[in-house]
Amino acid sequence: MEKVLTKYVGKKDSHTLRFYKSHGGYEAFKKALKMKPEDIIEMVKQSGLRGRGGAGFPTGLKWSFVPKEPGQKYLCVNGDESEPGTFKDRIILEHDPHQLLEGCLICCYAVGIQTCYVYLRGEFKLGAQRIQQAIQEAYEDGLMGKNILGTDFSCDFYLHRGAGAYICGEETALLSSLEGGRGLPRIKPPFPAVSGLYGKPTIINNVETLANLPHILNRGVEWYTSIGPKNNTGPKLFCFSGHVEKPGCVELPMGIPLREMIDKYAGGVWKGKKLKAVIPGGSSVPILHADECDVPMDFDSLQKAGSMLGSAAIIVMDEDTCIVDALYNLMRFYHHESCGQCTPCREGTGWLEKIVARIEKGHGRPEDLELLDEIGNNMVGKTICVLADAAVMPCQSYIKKFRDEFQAHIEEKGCPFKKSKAKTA
Amino acid sequence: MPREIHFKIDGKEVIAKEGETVIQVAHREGIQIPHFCYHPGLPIDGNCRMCIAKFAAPRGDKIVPFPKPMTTCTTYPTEGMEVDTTSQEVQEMRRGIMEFLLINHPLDCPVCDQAGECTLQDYAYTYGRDKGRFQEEKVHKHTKNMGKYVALWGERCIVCTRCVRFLDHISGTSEIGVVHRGDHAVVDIFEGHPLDNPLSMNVIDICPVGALVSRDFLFKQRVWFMQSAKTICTACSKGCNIFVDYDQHKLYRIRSRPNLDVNQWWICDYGRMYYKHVQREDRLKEFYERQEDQLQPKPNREVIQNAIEHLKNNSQQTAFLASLHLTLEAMYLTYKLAQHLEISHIGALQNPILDDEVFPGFTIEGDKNPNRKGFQLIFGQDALENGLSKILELIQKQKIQTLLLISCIPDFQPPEELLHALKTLNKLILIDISQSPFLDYAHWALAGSTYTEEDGCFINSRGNYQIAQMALPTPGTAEQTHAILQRLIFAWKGETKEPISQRGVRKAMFKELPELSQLKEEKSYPHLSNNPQGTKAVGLYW
Repeated sequence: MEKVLTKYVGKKDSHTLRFYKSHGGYEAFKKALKMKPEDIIEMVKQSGLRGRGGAGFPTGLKWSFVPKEPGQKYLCVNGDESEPGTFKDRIILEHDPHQLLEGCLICCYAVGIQTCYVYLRGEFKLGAQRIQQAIQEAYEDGLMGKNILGTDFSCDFYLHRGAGAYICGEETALLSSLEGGRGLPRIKPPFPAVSGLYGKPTIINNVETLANLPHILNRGVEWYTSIGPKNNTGPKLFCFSGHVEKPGCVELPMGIPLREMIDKYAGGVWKGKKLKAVIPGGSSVPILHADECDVPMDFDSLQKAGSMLGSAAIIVMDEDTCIVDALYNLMRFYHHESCGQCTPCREGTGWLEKIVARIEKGHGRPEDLELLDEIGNNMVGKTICVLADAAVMPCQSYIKKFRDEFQAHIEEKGCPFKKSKAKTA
Repeated sequence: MPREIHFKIDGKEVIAKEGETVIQVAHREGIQIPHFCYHPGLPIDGNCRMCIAKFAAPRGDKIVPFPKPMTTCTTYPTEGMEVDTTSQEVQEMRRGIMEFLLINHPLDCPVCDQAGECTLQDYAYTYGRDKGRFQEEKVHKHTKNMGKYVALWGERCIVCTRCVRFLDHISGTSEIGVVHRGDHAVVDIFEGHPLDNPLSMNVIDICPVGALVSRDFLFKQRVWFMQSAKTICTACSKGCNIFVDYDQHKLYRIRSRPNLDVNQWWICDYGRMYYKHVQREDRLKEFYERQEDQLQPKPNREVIQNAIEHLKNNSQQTAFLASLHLTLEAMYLTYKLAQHLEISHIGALQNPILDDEVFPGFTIEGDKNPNRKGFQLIFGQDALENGLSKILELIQKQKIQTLLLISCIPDFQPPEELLHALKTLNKLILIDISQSPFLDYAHWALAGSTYTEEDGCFINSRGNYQIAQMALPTPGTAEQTHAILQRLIFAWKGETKEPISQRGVRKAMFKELPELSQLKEEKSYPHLSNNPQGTKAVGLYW
C-alpha cells in the first residue's frame, strides 16, 4: 500500500517546515480556508474517519457536538500516548510534526476554535522539541497566530508536557492535568464537547486522527473511503512488539487478517517459534488465543471477535511465554496507574495485582480464579472512567482463554515456565 | 417558576426541581441511599460509587434501561426516568463497593474514635460480608497531626475528598489535598502548612470514617455512652445550632447541628472549643459574702436575703449592669427586678466587637455577644448604647453606691474604667460564672449558669430567637441565672416560693412584653440531623 501518514518518515529534515512545504505541506489547510467550516465537518463525516486513540468514535460526529455559537472553544491534541505497546503517535510527532499541526489548524478552522493545546506525554522529549520547533516555524511563517494567511481566522498553539501518568491519556483527566490539577477523570455528562477545558467546549483528538485530516482535504473523500473496509476507512498505523522478528510501526489499511499481518509485515513470530497469543490493540484489550488470529484487523471485526482494535498495538507472545507472568506485569501496571479516585478501581487494581502475583509466585489457591473473576465483575462499569475496565478486560480474558495455565501454577505451586528454564540452564 | 421533573425512585412517584440530582430528591422524599462522598453542603464529586443504582428512561413508548449503573449523586433526573435503588442486583453492586472499601481499611473499630457514628461501620453491617475474601497484606499509610485540633489516621481514609472539598469551597484555605495514586492515595497537608484555619474542625464532622479525628476529643469517650443536647452556641451573635455531647455531667465535645438559615452544616473552631470554660477549675460553685475583706461561702438563701435587704434600702443609689450573654428570660427577670426596685439606671456589659471573619462559604461574626438584640428589645437602645457610661459617670459623682452586676461572660476582660469605678462603690452584688476580675470587688457573689446549663432563648443576628437546651446541671450550689433572679424577686416580695422553669418565664415574658410579640422563632431543620438514635450523641448520617 502507498504510504500516507508515514510517507516522509526517515527522510532527512522531515520535521522542518521547509521540507514539509516543499512536499505540498499546508496546501490542504489553504484549501480548507476557502471552504465553509460546516462543509469541512461534513467532509470528515463522509470520510468515515474514526478516532485513532482507542475507542474509534467517528471524528466528524464528535466535532458536530460542539455548540455552533461563537465563543471560547479549545482543541486539545491527545499526545499522551501511554498505552503499553503503542508508539504510533511518537513517529508522527518526531518525524512529521507539521502534518499534525496542519490537521489541528483544519480542525480549529472547521469547529471555530482559536486556541489549541498539544498535550504530550512527559517522556516524549524529542517529540516535544520537534513540536515546539514546528510551532515556532509555523508562527514565523504566518500559519499560526493572528489573521492567518491574511484571513479572519486566528489560532494560537501551545505545547504542554504531561508528567507521565497513564490516566492523563483519558480525555477528561487530560483536561484536569492541563488545568494544573491532579490528573483525575471527570464525570460525564457533561461531555467535553459541551463543557471541557476551563468549562468551555473542547475537542480532544488523538495525534494520528488529526494527522489524517490534511490527506482527506487534499485527496478527497472518495480516495479516503477506498482504503480499508466499510466504516473502517483510511490508513492506520499498527505497532508490532513482543516476540516478532521485526518489531516496529507499520502503516496499513484496516481489515487485513491478524496472522497475515504478523507474518507479512512483522517478520513472523521470532526464532521460528509457535504463536501462543496476541494482544491486538494495546494492553487494555482482551487477549486473542492463537486460534483466533485470523480475525481482520479493524474496529468492527475485532469487536465481534470479543476484543478491540484499541490503539492498534499488536503485542505478540510466543509459545514460551508465561501467561500468568504476562498478566502479573499488566496488573502491576494498572495498579500503579490507577488514579485512586473511584473506590472499585482504587482498591480493585491493587487486589488483582496481589492475587496474580501470589499465583505466579506459587502461593495460589484454587478459589483464586473465581475470586479474580468476581473482583473484575465488581469493578467493570462502576467507575468514572474506563481504567477499571481496562484492567479487568485482560485479567478476565487471560483467565478465560488460558485457564489451564493458571491452574497449573496453582497446582504445581510455582511457574512451570521458570522451572523448565531452570532445568535447561 | 422552576421546571419540575416527574420521575420514579423504586416505584415511588417523585418530583425533582431543576438542578437537583437523584440522591437529593431521594433524601428529600425520605428514601435513604447509602453514600460516603456525597454531602449536601459540598460540591458533588461522585468518587465513592456507593450510591450506585440502575436507571431506565423512556425512549418512544418503551422504558429502556441504561447500559451501565450510575451514581445517584451525579445523575440528574429526566422526565419519566425510573431509578432502582433497592433491587437484589443493586444491593449486590453495593456489596462489591463495600468489599473494596474494607479490604485496605484497618479493622481497628475497637480503638477508633469514630466507632459508633461511622457510616463505613454501619454500611459494613448492612452490605458487608461476614468473612473477608482479602487475604493479602493491607496498604500502610501515615498517621499524623494535621493541625492544632485535627489528627489523621491515613489507613482509615477512604479518599472521599469531603475534607478537600470543604477546605476548597467553604473555608477557601485548601490546606488538605490527596497525595499518591491508586490504593496508596490518602489525604495530607503540605509540609509546613498545617490545617489551622478557624473552620478546621468541620472536617472531623464530615469525615465519614475515623480518618480525621478531633485531637481534643481523642480517646476521651465512646460515642454511644454520650447524650446530646440540641442547643445554641453563644460564642458570637450568629447563634449557630450545635449539639452538646455529654455523659454523666461531663461535657465532651460540641458538634454542628445543621440549620440551613443560620449556620448551614458548619460551625467555627472557637464555638467548638467554647465549652471549655464550663468545667474549668475556676468556675464559681458557691454563693459568697464578704466578711473581714474575705469572701466566705454562705448558704444561698442567706446571701440572697442579705443582698435584697441591701438593695431594698439603697434602691435610690443602685444601678444594674446586665451582660449581652444573658438569656432573654434572665434579661426579662432583671427588667422585672429593676421595675420592682424602681431602678432607672441600667447598662450593658459586652465583649468588644471584632471584625467579621469572612470565608467563601461561612462567616464568623465579629460581635462576640449572643443576645444584643434581646437586650435592645427589653432595655431599649439607649440603655444598650449609653447605659454603661452614664452609670460610670454617676458612680464617679458618688450618686450610685450599689451595683448589681450580672456578667456570666466567659473569660471577660472588663474595661479599665469599670474596674476603677468598682473600687469606689459601696457594695457590688455580682452574678457570675467564674473567678473574674469582678470578684475582687464583690460584696456578694452569686454563682450563675453557663450556656450549657440553661434552657433560655437568644436572639441571633438575623433577629430571630432560638431556644437552647440544657445539657448539664449547674456545679456545686450554683444556680441557673434566671432562678437566682427569680429568688431575688421572691425575696423582695417576701415570698418563699421556688423558682419556676425557664419555659414558664418565657411564657410570661412573651405575654407581658409587647416588644417581643414581633419576634419569630428561627426555623429548625430536625430532618437534617436525622439522628436515628434519638438523644444519643451519634453522628449525623450525612
